Amino acid sequence: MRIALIGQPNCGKSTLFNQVAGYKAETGNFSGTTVKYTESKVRVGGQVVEFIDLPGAYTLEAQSHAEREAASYLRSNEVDVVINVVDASRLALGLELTLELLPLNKPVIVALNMMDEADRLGLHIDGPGLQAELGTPVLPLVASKGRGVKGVFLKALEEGKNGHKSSAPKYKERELAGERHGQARMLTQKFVQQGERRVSHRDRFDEVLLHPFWGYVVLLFVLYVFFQAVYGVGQLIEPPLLAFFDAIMQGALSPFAADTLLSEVILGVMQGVAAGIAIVLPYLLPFLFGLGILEDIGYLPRLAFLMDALMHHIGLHGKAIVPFILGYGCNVRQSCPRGR
Amino acid sequence: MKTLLQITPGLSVRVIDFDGGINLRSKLTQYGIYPGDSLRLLRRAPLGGPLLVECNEREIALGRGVADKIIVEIETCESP
Repeated sequence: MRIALIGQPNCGKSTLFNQVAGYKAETGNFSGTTVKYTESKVRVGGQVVEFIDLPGAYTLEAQSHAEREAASYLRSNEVDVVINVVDASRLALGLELTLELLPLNKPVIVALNMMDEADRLGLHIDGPGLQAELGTPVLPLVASKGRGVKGVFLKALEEGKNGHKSSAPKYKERELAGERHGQARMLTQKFVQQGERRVSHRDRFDEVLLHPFWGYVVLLFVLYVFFQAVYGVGQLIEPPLLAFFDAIMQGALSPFAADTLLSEVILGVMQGVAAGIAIVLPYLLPFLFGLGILEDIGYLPRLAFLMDALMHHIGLHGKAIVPFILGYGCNVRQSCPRGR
Repeated sequence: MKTLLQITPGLSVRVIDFDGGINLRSKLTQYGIYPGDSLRLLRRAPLGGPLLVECNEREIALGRGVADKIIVEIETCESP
């Protein structure tokens, strides 16, 4: 049985996939980072099934290459069950995709992810009510903490075996985007109650982080600390590693006569490996680690927001600040396509 | 008729239409902005940068070029 995971960018779909597949897929903060799809065979409920993590797509009718790939794959006979991961804190937007999936005539499980985030925003979602309305299972999920993962997959298995499809005739017809938008809003108004929104520190941070003056002060400070940390760690690790490789090279070359072709070739190979490990890695690893931290705390979109105007002066978008920073450390790294 | 670019931060507006072709429309609808939706302009980035709007519980950054193509009207009598 083949189960496809589909959802909009940043809904936590890849986090869910990782929980089950157990190895790292790319999870990013900039929209559209999952360009290729990842596949895995997993044992669920005593049975081995195939999971496909499709590229994030806002809609199946979209223009981008990744989204068209996802759409054509879903329509094919290869998929038995669809798990539609929806960001519960943005239900109205997520449901627009759900409403596109129901007419496809395959079993759809709606997994409302990030329920903790919805809770933080004071949203109360009537899951059973929505389930009854759509005629398809709607289950809560907090993929990042592993809660509800088993329930979603077991349900998917069950639906796949039964071949059960949406029982609500209202949603079986293919609709236009504008109508789906209206239906999604209607469903959200009916099944989501806005309670007390808990005021969080995050909202207050943005006052400073995006401030016309202080935002840039923070930006310079963050970059300064970042580079100091990278170069600091790098300078600590580089000399011992270089010494280590020097010692190896001396040892390896001693049996060979100097200035022969063989010794030159061996020297070349060893210097190449040594350069990669001893010169690049001591800086690259803390760099990637630091970048990962910035991404996880959500600073990178704010960085892009502040830098967008300046980047346009040199013909780039704010988003390009990431490869820009990457390239400051090492040009080779900058020109590698990263799909970001 | 004003465009989003002409709105001062803090105001809520309703989207009337998009002054552009199919590419603009599909890009905006993908982000969930449709004619008839309410937007609240949160802030503008300095130095001619993007606008941060809140639409249907989402925060979206829009470039100035795009913002100038969204035709809006200011909402009077907004509920808090």
